[in-house]
Amino acid sequence: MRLMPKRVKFRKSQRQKIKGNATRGNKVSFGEFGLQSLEPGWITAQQLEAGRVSASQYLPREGKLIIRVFPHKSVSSKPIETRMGKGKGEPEYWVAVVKPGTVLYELSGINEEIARMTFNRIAHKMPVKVRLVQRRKTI
Amino acid sequence: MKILELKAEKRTTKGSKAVKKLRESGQIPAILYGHKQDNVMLCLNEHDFTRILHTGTRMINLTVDNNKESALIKDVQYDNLLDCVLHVDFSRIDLTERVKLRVSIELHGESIGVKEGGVLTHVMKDVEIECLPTAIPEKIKVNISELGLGKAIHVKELPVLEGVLYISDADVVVATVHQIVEAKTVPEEELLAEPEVITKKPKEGEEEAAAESAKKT
Repeated sequence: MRLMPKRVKFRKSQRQKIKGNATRGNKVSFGEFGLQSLEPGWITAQQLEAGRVSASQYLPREGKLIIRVFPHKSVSSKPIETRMGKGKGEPEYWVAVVKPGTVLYELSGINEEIARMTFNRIAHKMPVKVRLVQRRKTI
Repeated sequence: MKILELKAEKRTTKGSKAVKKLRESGQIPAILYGHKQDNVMLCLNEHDFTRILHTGTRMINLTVDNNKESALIKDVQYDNLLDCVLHVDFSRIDLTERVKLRVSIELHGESIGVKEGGVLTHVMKDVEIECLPTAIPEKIKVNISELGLGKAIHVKELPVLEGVLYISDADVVVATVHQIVEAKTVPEEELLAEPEVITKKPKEGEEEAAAESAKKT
């Protein structure tokens, strides 16, 4: 999966602050179990991919992993041993901006025990604290 | 489905600050509406309501200031981070009047297709039904033991329940068993490619070349 946008309006973005909790994408919508972020942070495309790979190595055939976040934000950096100034650095990597409450991954087609073990492996790759959440009953 | 009793009190305070205080005192703000009567703002005991919610019942007898009313739990708002109920909507109902609501679908049994090496996908997790308040099913159990590889169960094939009418589109797939589809491998060049910039201004040389090509056409 290509974890960066195909088209962007601007190559570089300002850093911005992450304020408040997630009001969208904060519940399990597609699978039965979800991995919810408990902290604000940036999750890089590489970390997302590492999480996906670690899950796919553990998941049984019938299990399906859904990634709920996408790295839309570019992060730039200056080359090492460069003097300050002379403009903003070049984009280095892409990140998904995550607020507390955001569901990062979802799992379907498996039981809770396997979901817990899979999410545990993913959690080791994440730069934020996470927890397992279950889909709510229909009302 | 059981009809449980729930006590509620009328509340006069509204607005985020007042409601926040209410929640801190172990109560949940709620509202009762419907049947062309005035809306009534209520507050419920959090413990009592969550106990009722866990039973899976949808119909309740609401006692407000010694007046009993039959009500349907129409909507529940949650705080998805703290896992608590923020607000509840109750709809007045007549026991002789049909109501529309969504009920969850539960699959049980092991399908033939899965035994043959397929993968079961539960596409539709809940279905909209119309029935009398006294006949609301807790969930709709679907037996998938005869579901073969490449086959699907549609809404029209759901079990017939007495007094229950399925409103959701009859041709919508509820569950399907299919072969595993291997994820497409993206070529490495595409993975490393820079995103296209929409607002990028063409350079001087490029601009002239573009103008010339436009003239030729």
